[in-house]
This record gives sequence, C-alpha cells and structure tokens, in this order.
Amino acid sequence: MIERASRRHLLGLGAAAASLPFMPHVARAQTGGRVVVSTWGGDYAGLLGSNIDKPILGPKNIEVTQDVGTEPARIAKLIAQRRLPRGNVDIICAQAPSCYDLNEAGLLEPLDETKVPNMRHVVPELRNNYALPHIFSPQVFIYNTERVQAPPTTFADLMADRFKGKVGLLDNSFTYIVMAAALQKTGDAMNLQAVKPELEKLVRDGNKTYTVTDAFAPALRSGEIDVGPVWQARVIFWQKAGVAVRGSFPQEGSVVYVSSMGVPKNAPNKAAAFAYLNAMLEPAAQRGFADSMGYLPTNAEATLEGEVAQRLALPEPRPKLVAPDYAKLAAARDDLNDWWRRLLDGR
Amino acid sequence: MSARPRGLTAGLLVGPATLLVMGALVAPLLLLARTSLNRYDRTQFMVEALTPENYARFLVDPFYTGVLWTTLWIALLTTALCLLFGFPIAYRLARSQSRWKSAGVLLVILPLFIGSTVRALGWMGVLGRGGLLDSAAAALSPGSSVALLYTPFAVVLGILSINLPYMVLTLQSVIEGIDARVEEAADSLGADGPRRFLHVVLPLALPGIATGAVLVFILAMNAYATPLLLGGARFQMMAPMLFREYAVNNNWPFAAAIAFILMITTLTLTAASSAFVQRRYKAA
Amino acid sequence: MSEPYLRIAGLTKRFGATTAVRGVDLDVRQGEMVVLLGPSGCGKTTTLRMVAGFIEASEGRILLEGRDYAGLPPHRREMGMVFQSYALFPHMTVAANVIFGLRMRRLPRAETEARLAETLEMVKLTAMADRYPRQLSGGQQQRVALARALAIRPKVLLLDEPLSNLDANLRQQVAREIRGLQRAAGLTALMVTHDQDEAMTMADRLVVMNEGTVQQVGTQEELYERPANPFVARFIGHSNLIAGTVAGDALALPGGGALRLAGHYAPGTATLAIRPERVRLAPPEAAEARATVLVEDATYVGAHVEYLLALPDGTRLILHDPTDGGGGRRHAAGDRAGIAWDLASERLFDSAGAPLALRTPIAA
Repeated sequence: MIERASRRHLLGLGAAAASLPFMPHVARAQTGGRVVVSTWGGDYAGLLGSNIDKPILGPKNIEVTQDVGTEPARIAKLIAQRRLPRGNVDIICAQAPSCYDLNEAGLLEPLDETKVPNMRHVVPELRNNYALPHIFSPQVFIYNTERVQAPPTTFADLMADRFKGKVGLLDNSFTYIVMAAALQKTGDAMNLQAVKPELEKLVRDGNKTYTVTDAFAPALRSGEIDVGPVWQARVIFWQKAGVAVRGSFPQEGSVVYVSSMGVPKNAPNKAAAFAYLNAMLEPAAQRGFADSMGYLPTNAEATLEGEVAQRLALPEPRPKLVAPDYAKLAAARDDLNDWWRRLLDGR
Repeated sequence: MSARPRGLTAGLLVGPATLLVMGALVAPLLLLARTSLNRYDRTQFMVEALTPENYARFLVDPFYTGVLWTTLWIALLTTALCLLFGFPIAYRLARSQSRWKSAGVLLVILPLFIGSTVRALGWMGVLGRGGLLDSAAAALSPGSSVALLYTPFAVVLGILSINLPYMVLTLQSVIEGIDARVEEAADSLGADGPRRFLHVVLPLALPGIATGAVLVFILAMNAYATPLLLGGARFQMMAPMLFREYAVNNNWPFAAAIAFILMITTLTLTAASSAFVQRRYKAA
Repeated sequence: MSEPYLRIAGLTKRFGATTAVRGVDLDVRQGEMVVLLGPSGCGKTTTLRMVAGFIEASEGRILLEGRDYAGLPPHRREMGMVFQSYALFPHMTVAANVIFGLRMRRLPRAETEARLAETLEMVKLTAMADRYPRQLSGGQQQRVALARALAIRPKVLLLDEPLSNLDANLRQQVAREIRGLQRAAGLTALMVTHDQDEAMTMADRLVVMNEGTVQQVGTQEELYERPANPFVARFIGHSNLIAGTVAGDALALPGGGALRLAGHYAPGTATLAIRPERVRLAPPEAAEARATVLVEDATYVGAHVEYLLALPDGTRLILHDPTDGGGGRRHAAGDRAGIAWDLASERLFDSAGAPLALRTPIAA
C-alpha cells in the first residue's frame, strides 16, 4: 500500500516536472481556475473526482465542476450550444463514436502533444487528434460457467446449434455486435453489410435481445441465456457481484469499446481542459479506473499490478484488439440502425 | 373610477402567467414544430430547411405506423383496464367511512413516490425468468416455466400499475362529490345496483371518468421506461423510438416529427372523446 | 284492536361499541303521520334509515302489513323518501326526476305520463317540468323531492328533516302543504325532525327520543300535559325542573326553604316540573302563594313578560306573565313577589324519572 502510494506520488511529481520546462509561469497562470467536465454520473463521476480532480488537479489550483447527465442529453446540449462563441463545457466525456461525430460536425478542438504531453503514451491503435481515449474494454463472450463447459471461442460459435436460443444480445451496443460478426466472417470488422444474413438468422433463431445492460446478468443467472458478447469490464463487474460467469476472447480478435474525452471548440477554459486531459492519462489515474471498474488503461505506460493485473489480464497469445473505424461506422450507422430496428420488430 | 384599476390589476395578475405559459409551453412547441421541418445530416446533425419529408417518412412506412398502432392499442387497452379496475376501488374509497380510509388512500398514493423505472425493475423481478412467478411455477410443477417478461402482457401490466393510482384518485374525488343520498334516493325509488350505477352514478361520474381516462391515456401514449424495460428490444412503442431517434441517432428533425405525430394523435383522440362526452351528457 | 299497519319492535342498532338505537317499539296506523323528535344524535335518523333499509338493524323487527322487512333491500321496500338535502338527480329534469321511480317499475308509458302530470299538478310544478334542479329555488326543489317520492305511491312516506333547508318564513307554509298532501293521499308517513314546532304542526302522534331510546309516544297534548319524564317535560315546550325532597305538602329545597305543593305525594327525593306559562304571580301574602321569590329580571317579549325569579335557596325559575293588552311589567328587578299554580299544572317525578302518583289534592 505504502509503496504504491509513494509510487503514485512520485509519478505525479514526475509529470509535473516534465511539464515545467515549457513556459512554467504562463502555464501556471493559464491552468488555474475552473474546468467544467460533462460526464456520466455514478461510479464514473466519482472515480473522476477521486483519481483526477482531487489528487492531480487540486494541487494545481484547478477547481473541477461536473456537469452530470446521460450521454445523449449532454451531447444534445453541446450541439445546441455549437454557435455560441463561449460554451460552458471544457471537457466532454463520450463514447468514441460520438466523439467522432462531434468532430465531424466541427465541434472539437484539435489535440496534439504540445497541448497534452501525455498523449505520446496513448495506445497507438486508439489514438486520434480530436479526442483522447480515457479507458477501454475489449468485447468478449460472457458465459455461464455452470452451464457452459466449452466456452465459445469465435463469433461463429454463437451461431452454432448448441447455443441456439441461448445467446443474449445487447440492443444498446448492436453496432459492435455487427462489427464482431464481420470481423469473424470477413476478417474486416468494418465489412458491415456482409454479415447481415448471419445476424438475421441469429435474431430470428429466438435469441434474446436486451434494452438495458443490467438485464443481462439476471438473464445469465436464470438460464434465460448462456452466452453473449459484452465488454470485458462488465464480466469483471458481474464476477465481483457473485454471478458465475467468465469471459472468453474471440480468436479472430476483439472489437474494443472506448470511452473518450474531448475539448469543445468553444470551451471557456481550454488551458485547464488540456491540463485535465493530461491528468486523466496519468498512470495513477488510469489505474484507479482499472481497479474499480475493470476497464483497461489507454496509457501504454500505465501497467497494472497484483490482483488487478490478474483480473484484467489478456490471455496469451495476446488477443488481437480491433478499434472500430469510426468514419465507416458513422457512414453506415443510419442504414444499420434502420435494418436492426426492423429486424427486431419482426413484423 | 373602479373599472380601470380593476382592469389593470387583472392585467398584472394575468400577464406573468401568460408569459410563463408562452415561455414554458408554447415556445418549445413552436421550436419543436420548426425542428420537425428541418433536414437531418449525418455530419451537421441538422440543416435548416422547410421539408415535410420527416412526416412523410413516418406516415408511408408500415414499420413506423405499426409502432403508432401498437402504442395506440396498448394505451387504449390500459385506459380501459384502468377504468375497469379503478372504478370499484375509487368507489369503495370514496364511500368508505371507515378509519382505514386514509390508509387506503395512502396505499393508492404510495406507488407514486417510486419512479416508473424502479417499478419496472420490480416487475422484471416478478415476471422474468427465475423471477417470482417463474420460481413459483417451477416449485408447483417442476420443469415448467413462466416467462412473461418482454411480452405485450408485461407492458400492459406495467403501465396499468403505474397509471391506476391516477385513475383511482381522479375518480375518487369525483365520486366523493356525488351526494351519497342521491344514490340512496335512486335506491328508495326502486333502482337495483346495476340500474343505480347506470342511471345515476355513471352519468354523474362521467366528467371524472373522462378526465381520468384522458389522463391515463396520455400517460400511456407517452410511456417510456415501462415499454423499454418490460417490452424489451423487440417490442416497440412511440416514446422509446422517439428517444432513440433523438439521442442515439442524433436525428432531431425526425424525432421532432415523431413527437408531433404522437402529440397530434393523442390530442385528436382526447378532443374527440371529450366532445363525445359533452354532447352525450350535456346536462351533467 | 286490529294489527297496526307498520310495526317497529325492539329495533336496535349498534355501531361497534356504541349503541345508536336501543329497543325502539312503535306502532303506526295506516294514514297516520308520526314524527320522531329529539335532539341531534338521539337516534331518530338512524331509526328512519333502518325503516328505509339503508342501515341494517342489529336487532328487532320492522313489519309492514304483517310482513317482515328484515333483509329486504331498500329498492324493494316501496318506501318513498324525502331527504334533507333533497338528493335530486342533478343530471335529470324535474319530469325525469319525478318519473324515475316509475321507470324503474317499468310502468306503461301512458300511465307514467298520467302520473307525472297528476303529481306535478299536486305540487304545483307543472310549468317547471323541463327545468333542471339547479334552476329551481330551494322550496321548488323540496317539492320536486316530495313529488318524486309520491309518484311511486309508496307504502310509507319517509321524511328526513324535510324543512330544515328552507327559509324560516317558508317552513310553516311548506309544512302545511306536506301535511295536506299526506292527508289527501291517505299516506302513512314517518318523519324525523329536531324542531319541536315543526313536529307539533305536522304530527298525528309524536315519538320523543333521547340517547337512542324512546322517551314517550303520544299526541301533542299528551306530551305537553303529561310528560312521561323530566326530559320530555323540558324538551317539549320547556319546563322549570326543580329538584327537592317531598315532605308533607311541601317540596323542601336542597339549599333551604320550601315550595308548597298543590297535591300530596309519597315522601322522598323528587323533581318538580312546571311550565313557565302555568306559573302566575301573586301577592306574597296571598293564600294561594306557594313561595316568595326575588325578581331578578323582567323582559317584555310581546305575548308575555318573561320573569327570571330566584327561589328561597337561589334556584332559578322562569315565569311567563301574559300581557293581554292591559299590563306591562308588574314587577321590576329587586322586587319580592309570590308565585302560584294549579294542581293540574304540577307534575312530580321520582329520582328514577317516573311520574309520582298524586295521593290527594290539597285545597288551595
């Protein structure tokens, strides 16, 4: 404990020292004040406070205010304020596809390593110049360990007869399911049109669809379903809650879910926003999220240790992690959504 | 001398209220109407336009009109069931002289303190696989299973349980306003229970029935959490679809058009039923 | 003697631990108007509602023409009820209100029309047939309520405080109208009121009730002249009630002093009941004077002067001295005067409230 705390302390000092050579006085003057973070509520907001706001930004005299809400509501607010010269959000926390959309609409400030020095440590596959990945989680196949002896190892297994009617699908991440299927069938996760017939069969075979993530665990426990594609973080969360489940990685690779942060172009305090992003990438802050939520760090330097490392360990050989091509996803999304709705409706 | 100050006072009193109504009700509606005529663009989200295409897209597509029909029949069915179950409860409560009456009223009000999402979660625990009913069925006859979650039945049950208190409370206050002696008068004049209800109670309660029915119908038409959680992904109603268009697809113009179609359908039916009630029982 | 038309026997109603009506017995002849009279909460309305069938009796029987009505629902009792609030159907016209009972009986259309016309004529509301209750005055609404009850030609007409919602100046007139209609139709009627004048005006016989029990049944005269107990004596027409001890020909007052009585009674604790208008002033030294009193107050109220007098021990007594055109106040506060009364006006009750029998009159 003591060792870890001191390490975290040292790292914090190191980060501060690293930023010092660049115009120290100006930076200090600019980064003071208030930063408004538009974020989800609940655990995530709490962890932002305890891992970033208090330990890292507090000493820098940056006061953090959270604007808590659901992602759609917060994004809607951002869009509504797009024409204002000065908005009231400095950091927007959103899923990676939403950040892509916001950037396409010209709402996000370009980012580089002069603004956010820690950006150079970001896992290369997740890196872009408009939003920084904060945490991520690969898609795995969750399965009930009491009923499933041979876990699925490829998306094709979900279509096999042995799981017929026992596959659970989460409506709110159906695009990722399409990508996973495409990756298995064609080797390209973005070959979305190619897997429609397979998924149509999967849905029509009587497999279950859930509107809310929280409905998944009771369904797995009661035997309504046995398997399903979900985020690794969710598997860990439910394991902690005592559900007899485990996750297996697809041979063909795992599509990843990324939670990102961006800076709106009309952010009132950009200097503080950059400082916030830099703090967010600090290994200590990243580990906090891995500890509590089971998400993987996006900073390649933030290595995990001990029990957390074991829980989050990727199997050997290391599975292929596939970040979606958000441009292709955005282009296909309306068509995909329409197809998926009608498929579920079954009329 | 007194006319002017009175007019002035009335103006001062009505003015802020009018402004508030304009600001809080009319302005957003106008904005919504304007939005519904815009064009959706994937990168720009919304492009200024004056096009009926969002309405056309909904109205010509059996998929969307199908969702509207589903919403309508669910709303009508739950309203009818609310009346059917609500009236006897409301009548008993209104006519009760027992000291348990306030406890009964509290029992009706109590569910209103719990959000519809939480109550839907409760129903999930009752209706789902491995839930209360399922376990009971399995205990009674091993191997059997009752899975009612993610069915229209679950949605109707969920909406009914949420709307029933509104119906009961509305009817109760109206029935309390009917002099119990009027019913006794009918009784002494030779009317048995059913005829007393038909000729006296029903016509006198009709304004309350209309109010209660309109209230729960509107609530059912706009139900969001219940169909989402109890109906599941394969059961579509208007409010969840509207929300998805607005929030997940960022298609504000189409969402606004859906909102207007939902609102106009609801208002039309509400107005039609009120007109019917007023014409039928003009005197009451 | 023939069987009564309506017989109430041992009628009792308990609400939980409290008994609202206790063993009420009453026989009503056909065509008779009997009025239940008593203070509020005395059980008169509960009794009426049991007869109507709105309340189930805990014990006792209600027999109409020899038939037991226990368990018979109100809609099969053929009793027309006029409610205190009138309870008209607000959504129906006057005509619809009046023929409601006929519709329930599925009477032929022609007969319904005929009865409607006849009944409206009876209550002089023919011109109002198409109005709604809310468009009528209180008196008119009252007549609609009456017409509605009469139209079904009830076996018994039940009236629950029918005049209490009317203006004071209208009451006498409506009371006479109701009485006239009831007599003309030869209807048996049971009415409830707390108003003594109303009861006196309308009844053939009265039933005085208190605390759930019948105190006395009788005609106006019987109740007034021969009250069965101190309650009736005080409730009907007001009486002075003076407690004391009978000793010889006098009533010794608890605080000292005595009143000379007009008759001989068995000795013991007793209450003298005497009406203010039956006591007269006399010179203190006159032979007829039964006591010397102190005048505390004298108020001229028109028909009489009301004197507030103090008996020797301070007990108060009220005396009404008729003005009969000639005199005003004969005494002023502070005067001493004598009081006198006749044997017929004197009534004594024992400690249980039962009348004391007169042994011998004492010559004045």
